[in-house]
Amino acid sequence: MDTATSIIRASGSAQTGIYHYDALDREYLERRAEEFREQVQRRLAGGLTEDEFKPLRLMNGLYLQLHAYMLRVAIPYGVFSSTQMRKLAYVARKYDRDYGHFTTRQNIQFNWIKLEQAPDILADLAEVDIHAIQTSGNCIRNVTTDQFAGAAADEIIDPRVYAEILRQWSTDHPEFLFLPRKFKIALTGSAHDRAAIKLHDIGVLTTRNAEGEPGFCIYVGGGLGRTPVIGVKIREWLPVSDLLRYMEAILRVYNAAGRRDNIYKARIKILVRETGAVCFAEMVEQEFASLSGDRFNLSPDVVQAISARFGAPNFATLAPESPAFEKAIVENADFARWVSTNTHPHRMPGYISSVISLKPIGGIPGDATSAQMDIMADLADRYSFGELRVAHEQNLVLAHVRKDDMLALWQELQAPGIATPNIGLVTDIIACPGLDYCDLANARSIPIAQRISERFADLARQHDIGELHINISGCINACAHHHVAHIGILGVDKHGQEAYQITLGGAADEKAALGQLLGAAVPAEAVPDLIETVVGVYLAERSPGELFIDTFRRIGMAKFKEATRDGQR
Amino acid sequence: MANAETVTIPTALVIDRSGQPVPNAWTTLAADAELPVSGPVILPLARLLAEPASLALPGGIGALIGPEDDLGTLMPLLAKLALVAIAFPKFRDGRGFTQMRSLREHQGYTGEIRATGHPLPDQFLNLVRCGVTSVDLPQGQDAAVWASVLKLHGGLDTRPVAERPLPLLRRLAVPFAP
Amino acid sequence: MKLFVVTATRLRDGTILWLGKGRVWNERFALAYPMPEADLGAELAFGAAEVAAQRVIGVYKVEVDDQHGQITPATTRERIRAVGPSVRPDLSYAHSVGDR
Repeated sequence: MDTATSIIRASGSAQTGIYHYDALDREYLERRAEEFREQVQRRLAGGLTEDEFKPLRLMNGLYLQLHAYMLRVAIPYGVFSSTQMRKLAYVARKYDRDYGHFTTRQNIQFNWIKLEQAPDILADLAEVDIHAIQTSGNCIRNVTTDQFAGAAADEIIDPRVYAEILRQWSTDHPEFLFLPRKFKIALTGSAHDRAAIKLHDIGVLTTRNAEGEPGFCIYVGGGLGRTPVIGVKIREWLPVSDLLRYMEAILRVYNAAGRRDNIYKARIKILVRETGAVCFAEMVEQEFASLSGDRFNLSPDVVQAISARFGAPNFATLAPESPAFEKAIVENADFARWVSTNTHPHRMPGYISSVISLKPIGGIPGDATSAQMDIMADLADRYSFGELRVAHEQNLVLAHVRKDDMLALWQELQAPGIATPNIGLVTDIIACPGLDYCDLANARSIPIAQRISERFADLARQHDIGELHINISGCINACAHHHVAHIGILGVDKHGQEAYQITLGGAADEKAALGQLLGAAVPAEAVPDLIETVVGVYLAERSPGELFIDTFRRIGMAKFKEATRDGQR
Repeated sequence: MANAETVTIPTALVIDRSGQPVPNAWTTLAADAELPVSGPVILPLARLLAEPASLALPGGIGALIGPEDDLGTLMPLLAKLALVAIAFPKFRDGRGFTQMRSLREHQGYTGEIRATGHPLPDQFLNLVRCGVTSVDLPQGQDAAVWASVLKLHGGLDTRPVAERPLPLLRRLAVPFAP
Repeated sequence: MKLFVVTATRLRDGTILWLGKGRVWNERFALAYPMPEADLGAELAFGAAEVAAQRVIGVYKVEVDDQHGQITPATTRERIRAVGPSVRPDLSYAHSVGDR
């Protein structure tokens, strides 16, 4: 038995996909929880001012929101185990109001946390190897990747291994915990971008060079928020072994030169813009050259050692096609409809990835009750090697389901209300918590999502409309990535009243584009009608087989503006 | 006595990298104060550059670096400096960490590196890992709190890197072991 | 004449508080004590002292509308703080039974 296997056995877990901790990793997490307990005590006793305490609590995922403290728990690169899911359900029941909110950054948030209980929660989470480290604050945040990592057919490398390496490198990095501003890294394991990498401070795309060796193409300076920017490429191909050295170089340049005089100009995108991409790339290359290649060398042994800590699913040898699955699709139209939207091809014959929708009609996008969490944990155990994933669209994924089991899985998803066949459709709306919960928001997001969802409740109509992404942010910080939605909705404050700006034509994939403004902001009650009109223009104009975004790219804004002008007067 | 206070910035208490108070011989000269006849004395970088003769001051000379200072201008002087003080005017401004590592790891500076200004005790381990030798504690701060923060992290861990509670990557590849 | 109340957040648990008559913190908005802006000085000074004593954070004034003695916060944000998330009426503060 090799070391990795013995570690996994020792942890009593057969779950796959997650990085398995050893005793020293656990000692570290326990120590972090104790450190935070001591900091909270010092804060309550007056040894730390709020100004001093704030960055410390943020570094442990604890925000102060509109109604209470909010704890953002990391789900590194979105992959977690059924055991961890059960612990999240436990936290929701014991410390919160029986629910949690899955976010666009593959994390989960609890909305009703008491400061004095936060250290206990961190200690409880540490028991199952999860934490809230660096889920907030001006440091390197949770590294994100795509939700089909390690299962998708087109991968060059397994992005989870490199995301984990980046997590370990960035966790408690002594130099980079007090950056000018937050810092987000996304990585995708294939040349097809499913992780919106050009919208991150650093985006890593896996490519092969002319010799066929795998490596990374590096983008910097992407991001949404007040100043939305698509990232620029600064390195065409970087050898795998130089990944950490190159990251170190970018972060050193940013930490030394990033602006600290204005919070709105402190992200790396502004530094890249003000310096110029070419000049910025030169600064990084110069820093890169000055760093010791030996010290930061990511050798194949190290990659192998990290990789070995991930449990590999023990896939059965199956036929590519499942007659039972095909038969069910033919005989059961509802099941067929669900399969058509809520699945993704798997690299192993006879397997398929299945998406659990957290977007019931009229529901709160991304919210799950503790009971639902427990059910999903059981389903993960029975159907997907005990592994779950969070998609940045705020849905969950069971990545490795046998096609033979799909009908049974679908039937079990009905009762808890998580079988909505709407992935990628008009009601699969991404929404931030908005003014109902968030201290920064200008307007509510969730009720807008609920009203649109109810308006388009008819499933046949949704499927007829086809793929259409609606994202709703309650303020310019753009947590719901409204700029890159096919239809983006931004809540603004108009003389003390909530109002909503609509943009069209954004995209977050490799054709990343920022949406264009449709017109003046409208009140909440006008939004569903406006969306209806926009969808109507698409349906009238589309060529056979054309998706909303394709039609928009072909015909442009004019017809949409014309059709919606009356509603905005 | 009153005169001394007007020309130097008083030092409250200096601790070493294990959190223990240590005797301090250094004084920090205010920007416009007259140069004393002998050191050890810490001068702001701009003044060192403007008055290169001060580098020959008997008793030792140190440089005070602010977050905005360009380390490149310090490099030619480095061999003559027994101490480099890195200022943290605000604890949230992390440029000092990069400056420290540049000096220690990239320039191979072996003299004393001292954190000054308003770092937090909660940043102590990061300072140590970036190469700090001593901390000039902000007014009113308790050295015991600094020592206890370090203790919480197991003190200055003397175990081999492979046996410390560090992520596997750091146990294997060693960047930033304290 | 515009009326205001004073609000804060309790440090140890993050609960929203409203300053009532006799400078007592209440969890229920209905117990907040409205007054003209000119009279707020002493209330805000009390709030600052409470911050210094590590009991509360984030003290500020909130404009309210007064309809026959029934007060409501003037902005959507403060109405949500007073009542609870609009999308979870089951968690409304109207169900809360006064101070704990």
